[in-house]
Amino acid sequence: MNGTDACLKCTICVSACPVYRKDTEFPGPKALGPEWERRRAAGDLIVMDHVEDCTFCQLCELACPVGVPIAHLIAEQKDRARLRQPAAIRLRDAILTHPEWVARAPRLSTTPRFVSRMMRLSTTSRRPQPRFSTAVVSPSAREIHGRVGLFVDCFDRGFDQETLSASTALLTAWGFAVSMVPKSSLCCGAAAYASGRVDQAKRQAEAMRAAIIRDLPNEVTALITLNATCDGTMDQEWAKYFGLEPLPIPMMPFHEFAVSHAPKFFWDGLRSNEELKREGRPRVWTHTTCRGQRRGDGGLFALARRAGVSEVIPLDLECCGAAGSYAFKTEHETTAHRMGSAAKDQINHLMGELWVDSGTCAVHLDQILGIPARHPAYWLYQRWHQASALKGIPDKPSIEG
Amino acid sequence: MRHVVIVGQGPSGLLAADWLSALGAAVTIVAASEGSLALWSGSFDFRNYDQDGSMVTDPWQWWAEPSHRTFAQAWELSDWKRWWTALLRSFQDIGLIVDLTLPRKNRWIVAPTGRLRPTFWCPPWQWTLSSSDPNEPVTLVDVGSLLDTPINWLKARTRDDSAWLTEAVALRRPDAWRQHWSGLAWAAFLDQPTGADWVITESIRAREHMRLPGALVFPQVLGVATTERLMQRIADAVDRPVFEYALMPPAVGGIRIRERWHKSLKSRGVLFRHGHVVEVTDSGVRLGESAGRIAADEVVIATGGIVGGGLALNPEGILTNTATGERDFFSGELNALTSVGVGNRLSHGYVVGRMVGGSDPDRHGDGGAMNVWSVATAVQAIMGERAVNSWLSTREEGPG
Ligand code: SF4
Ligand code: SF4
Repeated sequence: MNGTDACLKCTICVSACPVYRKDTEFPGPKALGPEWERRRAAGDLIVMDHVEDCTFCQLCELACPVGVPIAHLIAEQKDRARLRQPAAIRLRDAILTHPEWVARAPRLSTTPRFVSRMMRLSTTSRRPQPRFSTAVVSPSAREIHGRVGLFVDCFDRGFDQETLSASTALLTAWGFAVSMVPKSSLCCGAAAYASGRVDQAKRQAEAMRAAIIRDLPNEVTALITLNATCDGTMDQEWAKYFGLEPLPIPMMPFHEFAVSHAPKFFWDGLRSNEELKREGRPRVWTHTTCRGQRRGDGGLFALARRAGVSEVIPLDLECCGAAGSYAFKTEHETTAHRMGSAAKDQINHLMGELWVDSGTCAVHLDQILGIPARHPAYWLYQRWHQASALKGIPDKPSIEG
Repeated sequence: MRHVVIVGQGPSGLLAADWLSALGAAVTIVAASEGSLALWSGSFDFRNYDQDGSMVTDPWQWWAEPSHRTFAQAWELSDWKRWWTALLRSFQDIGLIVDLTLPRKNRWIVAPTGRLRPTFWCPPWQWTLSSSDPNEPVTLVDVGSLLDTPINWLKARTRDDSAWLTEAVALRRPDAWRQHWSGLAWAAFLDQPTGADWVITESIRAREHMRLPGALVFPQVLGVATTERLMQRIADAVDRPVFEYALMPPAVGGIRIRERWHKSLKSRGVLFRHGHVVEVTDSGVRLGESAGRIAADEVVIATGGIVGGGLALNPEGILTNTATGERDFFSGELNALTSVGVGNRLSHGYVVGRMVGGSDPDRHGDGGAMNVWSVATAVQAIMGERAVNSWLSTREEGPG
């Protein structure tokens, strides 16, 4: 790791940490990261209390003016702290850090309450329920511009086939053939890294990388992602912390690809539909997840505006508290719910929808804020489907795997 | 529509984004890290010290002196008045409760180091004094031993005759208190209902021990999101005005402003991009780590000068990296406020911030004025004087 001893003690990271604001016991990124690292370098191996309470949102790193890998130092400290944890928690974390197992059998996620309690799984954070592919895939492309890869993350594979088919439908309508990768259920390593299982994360990443390369057809020009956490892990951490070669093709979040590649007729169709039905249109809130902020903030707002939505409100929320499996752990549920609730004041209208660039965060926010929250691909598809129905464009399924 | 990329998100970057987006530009802020607002109490200096280090009490008078107008585009007092008002209007718009009357003279604040220092304007929560030898009574509140910062000032003051004018009362620590709490952790606690109830109850209890009739002054811990409401509740409970003095970073005052500003800019459609700008050309900026280019009609460089590689522009027009002292990697033609080349490419961009035009804000106490002047000048050049003038006149007259 580079820059581990570059800390200037400016405390800017502390000002950016969402847990520091909601959990009065949390010592904050500066103490847990660079300060702990300096003691460790001097031979002091003691791990600190509350190190597990870091969500690994990495907002501290985005804020640091000198590039200290704060969150990744904290992950190393978590790795050492694991040894002191009780067996039940170690077992639970072994499962939570293998979302690819759950994705293969999504119904496993509905554990009975007594099992949950025994395993210290949160009984108040809503667990995702599988949504099967209900999207009717819309019209075949007028022109083919090429083939793209659609990265299938564990959450969407297990619980949100609907968003996967909506994304495929839209990409097809925009003129792209779609290949979903990887073909088998694997994890990029994000969940394990967040829990401080650094070696396991690296092994998962290697397997995932090999599968993507194996499953991607040669002519694919971009890999499109639907989950900001996986996107950040593969695009940045694989090279920086696991020493993996970058993937041979560029990666791009779905919403950025939409803004740069969806054709004019698509936006015109959405906009005219929006205008026709201006009365009673839902209000749109947007939330760029903590890991999505690695690329920036405001992209979802721009997307909704581009689609003709007249009232778009960015949620005033840096990290919703879901942060992978964080909210599913008993010891974190209070903090996680407090974090998401910070946006409650902004939900002042009953009819609305929330656009979120990660499915797990969407489930969490849906529960806490009480408005339907989904990935923007899902919402865009709903609008496009309505718009094409109005114009009499025939819907016919054309998914390919 | 003009597309403007602003590099950096400290006070001058956000101010540029605010004014440019208000004037109708499409703004993208590109920054490699958080700006310096978490290190800043929120005060703006106009001019605090003369060339020889002596105190300036009336900055308006100082700037009226023709020999003090050091910039190519020297401002009249009427220009200062219009732009300071525009700044305060922007703060109103993001939700600060601001009186639009501009200060006549510098006032005094207790700096986080515990020394008195002059300043021109500060947010309404900040405690200010009208002179460095004040005879206004004040009750300082000690919250979990956070009183240690203004203690120097307090000691100096208790040595002389005005000693009776200052007193300190201590609040008992709440159960949630932890040894490691900074001012920000306190503020986060007081943002929660249990914290707010604690501070009201304790303030009422402490009122029994207050002998002086003056203001009640807390360390800067009175919430981040709920500050104004909380201060009002305490003021009602103890029946006297409530203020704060700034603490060491993380600076709660600057964080309050940062969060409100971010929220407001995002809801106006300003895009925030995270990345390192490694090159500025006349068609936009290029990001490092092969993150691509961002096209723009104009680029504003607002990378500051406080921490980690800010840029400062000296009177000869040379851009220096304030962290490394490096200057050769910038070239290009520079005039007062200016075209700069980055990475040995000739290009166009405006440099804004507290360290432009040869200013030495740490010595002169004019950083706030430099921010306002440099951003205003860039905004005028980008949007055109006519558009800016008509916008400014609506800012002066319109309702608050
Ligand atoms: S990763 Fe997130 S939760 Fe952890 S210390 Fe950094 S900002 Fe705080
Ligand atoms: S932001 Fe970076 S330099 Fe500043 S205290 Fe945190 S780790 Fe240190």
